[in-house]
Amino acid sequence: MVYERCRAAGIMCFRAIVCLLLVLSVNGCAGYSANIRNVEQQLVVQNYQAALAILEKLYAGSSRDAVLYNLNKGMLLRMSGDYNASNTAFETAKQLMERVEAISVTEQTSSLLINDQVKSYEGEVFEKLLLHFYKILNYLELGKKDEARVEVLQTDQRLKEIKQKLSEDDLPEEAWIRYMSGIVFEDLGEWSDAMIAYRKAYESYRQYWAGFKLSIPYSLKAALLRLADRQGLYDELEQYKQEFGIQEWETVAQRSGQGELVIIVNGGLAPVKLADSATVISPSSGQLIRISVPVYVKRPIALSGANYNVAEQQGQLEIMEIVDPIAIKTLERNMPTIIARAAARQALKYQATKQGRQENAALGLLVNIGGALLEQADTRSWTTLPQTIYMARIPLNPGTYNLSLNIVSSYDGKDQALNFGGLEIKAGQNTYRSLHWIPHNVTNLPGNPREYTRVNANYGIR
Amino acid sequence: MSYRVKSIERNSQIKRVGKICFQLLIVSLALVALASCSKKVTRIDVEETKDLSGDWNDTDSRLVSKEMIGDVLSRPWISDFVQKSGKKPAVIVGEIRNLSHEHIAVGTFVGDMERELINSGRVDFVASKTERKEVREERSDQDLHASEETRKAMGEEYGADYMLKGSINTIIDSEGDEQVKYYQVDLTLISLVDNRKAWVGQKKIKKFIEKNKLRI
Repeated sequence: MVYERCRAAGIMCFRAIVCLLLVLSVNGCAGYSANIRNVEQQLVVQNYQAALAILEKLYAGSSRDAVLYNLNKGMLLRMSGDYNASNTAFETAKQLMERVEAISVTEQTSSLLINDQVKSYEGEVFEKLLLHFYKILNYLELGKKDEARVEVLQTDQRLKEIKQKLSEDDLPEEAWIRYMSGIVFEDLGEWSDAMIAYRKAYESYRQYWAGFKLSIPYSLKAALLRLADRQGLYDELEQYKQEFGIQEWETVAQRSGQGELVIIVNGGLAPVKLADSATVISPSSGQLIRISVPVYVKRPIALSGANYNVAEQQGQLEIMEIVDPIAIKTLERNMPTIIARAAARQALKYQATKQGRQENAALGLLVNIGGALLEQADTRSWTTLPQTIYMARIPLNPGTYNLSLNIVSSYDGKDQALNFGGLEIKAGQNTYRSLHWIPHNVTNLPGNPREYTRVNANYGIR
Repeated sequence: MSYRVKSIERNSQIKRVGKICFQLLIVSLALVALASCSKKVTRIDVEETKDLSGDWNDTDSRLVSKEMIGDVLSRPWISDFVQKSGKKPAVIVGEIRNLSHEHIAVGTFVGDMERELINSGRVDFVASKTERKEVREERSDQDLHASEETRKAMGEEYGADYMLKGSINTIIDSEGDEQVKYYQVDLTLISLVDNRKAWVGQKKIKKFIEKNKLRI
C-alpha cells in the first residue's frame, strides 16, 4: 500500500519535472532570433504599426530583454517616422544599459546553471554606438541640433568609458559615429571640435580599411581638407592633399552662402544570431554533453548602391558603416568568454548528473537530459539595425528642393525610385533626411548557420 | 521482509527528490517575489535634495535660479537704468544653449528667474519670440473678429531693453566606476541698444558619482 502510494507520488513528481523541462526547453527553443522573424515580415511590407504590435507581444514585460525591446522599438518607431517617440524608447534603452552594466549576482549564478539567455541583455559596443547615432539622427531630423550635440558629447564620454575597459589593440569601431559627430559640430559652426571629430573618424576608417576593406568616404576626405584649410593647419592640409590625391575642394568660404543636404539611407537589416549546437555522448561516462553557441548569419546583401538626383546634381551615396563584419568581429571577440561559460556549465551539469545517478539511475538520466535541453545559445542581438549605412552630403543654394533617390536592389537588380519633396535648404545650415530600405529577401536565412559564416563580403574600393 | 526494506528505501528516495523540488520551489518563489516588489510612493518636500542618477535634477535647477536671481537683483545695472531713463528695464529671454552632456530642461530655471524678477517689481519682462508669435496671431485674428472697442492695435508692442542669453556647459572626468561632473551655467544680460553686457552671472556645480559594480 505504502509502496503503491510512493510510486504514484514518484511518478507524479517525475512527470511534473519533465513537463517543467519541456516548457522551459520549448520557451528556449523558440528563442529571440526566431520570434523576431515575425516582426521582420511586417517591415518588408512597411507595416510598422503591425510590427510594433508584434514586438509588444513578444516581450510582454520581460525585464532581462528590456534593453533589446527598447532598441527594437526605437528603431521601428523611427522607421515609421515618429522620431520623438523613437528617442524616448532609445533613451530608456540607454539608461537601462547603464543599469545592466553592473554585474548581477543572481543572473551570473542562474546563467551558470541554466544558460546565457537568463542574463539581462546589455548590448554590444557597436550597438551602443549605433544607439547614439540614431538618437543623433532623430534629433537632427527634428531640427533639434543642440540636443543632437548633447548626444554627440555623450557618445564621446561613452567611447572614453568603453576604451578604458578594452585593451589597447582592441579598439571599438567608432569611425561612423565620429564622422557624424564632426558633421554636427561643423553644422553648428564649431570648427575646432569638428576638425577633431573628423580626424578621429579618419583614424578609425583606416582601421576599417585594414580590417574590412571599407575605404575612407570621399566626403570625409573633402571635409578634412576643408577644415584643415579653415583652421590654418597647413602642414596637415598638405599631408591630406598628398595622401588623398585631391588638389581642389570647396573651402568654407566658398560654401558660406550655401546649405548642405545630408541624405542617409539605412539598407537592409543586421545579421542574425543562430544557435550552433553539438550534442555528444561521452564515451567514458555515457553522459549526454551538449554545447550551444551563437553564430552570426549574414542576410543577403540588401542593396548594391544608391544614387541621388537633385537640382541637376547627380551622385552616389557612399558607404559609411557596415554592420555585418563589425558584428561578427564583436562576437569573435566575445567567443572565448562564451565558451568558457559553456564549459563551466557543462562541468556543473556533469557533477549534478553524477550525483543524481548515485541516488537513482532514473534521476541521473533526468538531470542529464534536463541539463542538456536547457543548454541554449544566447541568440539575442539588435536585429532591426541596418546592414549598411549610406550617406551623401550635397551642398545646395538656399531654396526648396525635391530629391529623387535611386536604389539599386541586389535582390532583383531592379532600380527603385524614391522621392523626398519640399526639402528646405538654408544658408550655413544642414538639412537632414533619412530612410530605411528593406528588401523582400531579408528574411531568407540559410538553414545551416555554418554555411554562411564562410561567406566574406567584399566592400570593394570605390 | 525484503519488500518492506525496498519500499522504505524508495520512500526515502522520493522524500529526497521531494525535498529538492521543495527547495527549488522556494528559491523560485523568492526570485519572483524579488522581481515583483510593488511600487511604493512617498511624498517629499520640494526643497529636499534627492540625488538618484547623478544627472542634472530639480535641486540643480533650483540652486542655479536662486543664485542667479540673488545676483542679478543686487547689481547696480537696474538702478543705473532707472536713473538714466526714468523707467524700469524691460528684459527678454533669448536663447539659453544647452552645451552640456545631458538633455537638460533649461526652461525650468529660466522660468524661475522670470517669475522672481517680475514679482520683485523692479524689472519688466517681454514675451519671448515664440510667445510673441502666438500673441501676434491672436491680434491679427482680433483685427478681423473682435469689436472695435476691444480690439488691440498692431505696432504697440513694448520693445525690450535687455536680452538674457546664456549656456550650460559640463566637464566630465571619469575613471572606472568613478566620475566627477562639473556644471557651469553662464547667463549674460546684453543691452539691445549697444550690445554692452550689463550683467554676467555664473553658477558652478560639482558632483562626484560612484557607479554600482554589482546589482541583485
